[in-house]
Amino acid sequence: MSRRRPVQRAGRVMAAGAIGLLAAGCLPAGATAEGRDIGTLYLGVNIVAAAVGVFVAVLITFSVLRFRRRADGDALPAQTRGNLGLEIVWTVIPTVIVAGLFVATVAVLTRVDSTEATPGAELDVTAFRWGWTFEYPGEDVAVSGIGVPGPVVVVPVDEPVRMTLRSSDVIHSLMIPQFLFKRDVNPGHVNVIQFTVEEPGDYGGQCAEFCGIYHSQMPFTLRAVERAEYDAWLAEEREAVAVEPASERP
Amino acid sequence: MSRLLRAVWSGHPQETRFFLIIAAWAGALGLIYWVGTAEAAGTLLLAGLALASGAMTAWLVAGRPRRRPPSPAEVASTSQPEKDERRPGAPDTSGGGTAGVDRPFLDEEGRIPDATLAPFAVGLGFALMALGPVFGLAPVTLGVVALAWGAASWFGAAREELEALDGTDAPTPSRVERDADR
Amino acid sequence: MAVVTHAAPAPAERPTILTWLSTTDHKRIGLLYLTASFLFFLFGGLLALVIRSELAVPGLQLVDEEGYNQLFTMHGTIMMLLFATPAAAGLANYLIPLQVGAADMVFPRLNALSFWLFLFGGLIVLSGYLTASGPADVGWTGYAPNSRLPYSTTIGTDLWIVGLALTGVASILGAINFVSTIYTRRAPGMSMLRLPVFAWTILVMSALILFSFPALTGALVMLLLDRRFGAAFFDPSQGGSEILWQHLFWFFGHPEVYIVALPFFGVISEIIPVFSRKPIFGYRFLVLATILIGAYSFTVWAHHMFTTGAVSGPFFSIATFIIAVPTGIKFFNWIGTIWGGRLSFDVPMLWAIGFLYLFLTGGLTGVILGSPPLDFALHDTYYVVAHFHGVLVGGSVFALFGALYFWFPKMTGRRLSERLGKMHFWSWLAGFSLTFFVQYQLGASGMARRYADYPADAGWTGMNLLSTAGSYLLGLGTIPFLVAVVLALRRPADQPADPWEANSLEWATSSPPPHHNFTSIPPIRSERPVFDARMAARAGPEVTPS
Repeated sequence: MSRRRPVQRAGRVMAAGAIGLLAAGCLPAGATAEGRDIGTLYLGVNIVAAAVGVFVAVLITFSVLRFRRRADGDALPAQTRGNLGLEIVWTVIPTVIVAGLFVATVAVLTRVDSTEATPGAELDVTAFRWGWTFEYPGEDVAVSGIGVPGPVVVVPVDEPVRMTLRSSDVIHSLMIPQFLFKRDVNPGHVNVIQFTVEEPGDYGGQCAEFCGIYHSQMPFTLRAVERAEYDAWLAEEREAVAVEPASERP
Repeated sequence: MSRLLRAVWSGHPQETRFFLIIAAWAGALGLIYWVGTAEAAGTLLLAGLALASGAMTAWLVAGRPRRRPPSPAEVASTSQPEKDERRPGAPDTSGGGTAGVDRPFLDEEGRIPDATLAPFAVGLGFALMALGPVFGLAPVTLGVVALAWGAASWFGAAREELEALDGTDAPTPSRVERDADR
Repeated sequence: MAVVTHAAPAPAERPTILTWLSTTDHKRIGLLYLTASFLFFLFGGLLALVIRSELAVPGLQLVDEEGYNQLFTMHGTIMMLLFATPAAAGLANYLIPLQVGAADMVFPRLNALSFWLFLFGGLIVLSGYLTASGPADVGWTGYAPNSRLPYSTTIGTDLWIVGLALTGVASILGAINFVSTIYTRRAPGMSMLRLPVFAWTILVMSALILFSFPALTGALVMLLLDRRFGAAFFDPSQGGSEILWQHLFWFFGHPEVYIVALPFFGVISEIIPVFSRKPIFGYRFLVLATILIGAYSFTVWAHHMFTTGAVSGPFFSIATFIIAVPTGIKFFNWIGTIWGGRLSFDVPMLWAIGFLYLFLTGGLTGVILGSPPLDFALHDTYYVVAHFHGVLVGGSVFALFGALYFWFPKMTGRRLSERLGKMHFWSWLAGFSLTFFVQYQLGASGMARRYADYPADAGWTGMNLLSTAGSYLLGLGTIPFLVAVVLALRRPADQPADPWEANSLEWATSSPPPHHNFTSIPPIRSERPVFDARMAARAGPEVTPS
């Protein structure tokens, strides 16, 4: 009849929650070189975060269960006010951990943001309410689409692809979940991104910055193909009219 | 040098120190931010915070009245009771105050104002006036009326209280009477 | 010198509407704040239930896209600015004069004005619902240029701007009162390092309000000028900057999240020692950590802007990592308080323990988001939604409920039902976990936020259903609390001055306190004057407190 029951229930709930937490938050495997980098960093950071989280959660659970008031009533426990040594330990160790996180972060960030390598394809991307235009300035080709399912933009696999991002109205954001990547598409501040897709295939893209009514209705598809197929596709597009007919919103 | 700094520091009330610390912190941050990122908006925000706080500090220092005996509020807020209590024979000035229940709060210079509709009226007035940019002049005129009434009532009451308090730092008899009633 | 006398209020008088409209008593104003903010909370919660109901399965069943955008805009605005911030102000209003041993705030009428400005501002924000085109729909963050003309044209957004400007001024005026009262109205013997930790958190919160809210107010005025008076602050085609809005908003916005976190950290620091029967562990380090969190909160703002490409990733990343350290210090000190204690699991303590678990996960995922490459994957997805609900609901709201159960006896003289409180707590713990932990996975797998709908073949339906079920549990779990409040208020006021055997000065006066708060104050020799007095009384009259 004691307070033991609810507290043990609490312990089990907490343990279940902790396990659930560990299982949550799995990123897709990045399909670009940069995405793989990000995925590796994510795994490493999560391991550290999970270790810290489990450690603290166990501390909380242990202390909550171990130091329950027993039947012996009112005696006060030792009125410890603090411990300088502990304060130092739990300041220094987290500082070291976040310093390590920072070093790893900067390394990955530098590689992800780099636009040094010569690109195999260059695109000018324009986002608008509510669709995308992808132009290949050197090639006289452009694809464009409004709403769902949106345009299909073709790029070569295994070569750096550079995109210059501009918006013609409000802030949008170009997001490709399988690349573990997004970058805002601004009307003022122009962004340039570069990535190398490692696996041929179709990758879904979407807008990731709230841009009005149909923000959730402006997807696109990025199709990565072998260089030969890419060149053939460009040739086809050049023969057809420059802009693809807009696809209808359902 | 450190004696000079200490003299400068201790000569000022807590408000001045508060704003000085903020100004120094924001100024240092702004500098580090500019050097680290060369980004204009953030630098301006931090520098602006430093300037505003610094201006407040300067205004407080410049406008400081010449040396006068500290008010009970300043004594209470800058005293170091831990040191005082450790001195042998020191009176127990904590809690009940030196005059016990009759003067429970050494630092009470004012009094609790009466209930008044003035804040409600002033708030309503500002709210109606704020609707002006959205709806035009109609709510502004209503707001001005409410604001005027509220402000007049507020300032009137405040002036009365100030006159009643002039020349004394004792709590008004009204509050002591009220306490004795309970 | 004229002697001004005032009639004492008759003790048995029941307050009328006029009493409430004309009060300058910080306790009444605190109750007004708490009641109003809680009513806003209930409405914001209903909006959340509609959002979750819409997202339960793919397809638009309940609202269209425009309606959905209004839903999440108003939900966010109400919860952040009309609930969490004023609830903290309400607690502070009620407790600060009591905790420092004062009879009222330094500026009681200004205090009342703060409340009325908040209330009218909040009502103006909500008045968008009364317009033909509906309330604001620009997101609680109101990013420009989307929030400018010609993209956002409805009057609801103008009302949102005006209402929030008013509530911002209310917060600033309240902060002035808190800082002044804490600095100048402390009872003799209460040095700054004997303030309750809650008072310290309010002091730092107030400093944050003073220095961050003007950025919001300025941004709102600029946006209104852009929308209705032909200005171009945020229009790059006319020489303005769309990034500028984000800088201004987040320079306010990040301190804002600490404004709604720190007071609730302070609440935890008050509750845990009482129910562990020990002093707070590492008082000075908690104070230092509070100050550091406040100071550093001005260095991290653009971690909300990593994907803009316009800010320094390394600067804001290291700043975000740094601020995790003092937060961790607080955590370990709370555990240190529990360690070696004699815990009792009254309802306030249950909320505090729940807070510890939930804020832990929310806080850790915040550190993860502080790494720009990871943020490139996770920004604007449900991962962020899960993170901030972890710290704001699992953190601040859990602590707020703990505070309400803890201080309800002091405020009303009645205790809330323990049984109903436990029902409330356990359903919220389960409901919160079910609603938000799956959202980490939803976000990691690519589900974007602020989306009215999602594809049926994305594999997200199951998780969304679970999340919605959890939200219904949260909604239902609030009912025991409301019932408990109603039932308690019907009972006669029977609580003593110190029903919990607590520590700080508010427990040295009756429940509820008299109009002028104290008739006498115990000696103040530590941050636990009531505890010290209780120990001295038990030791016997001949023993003087040491």
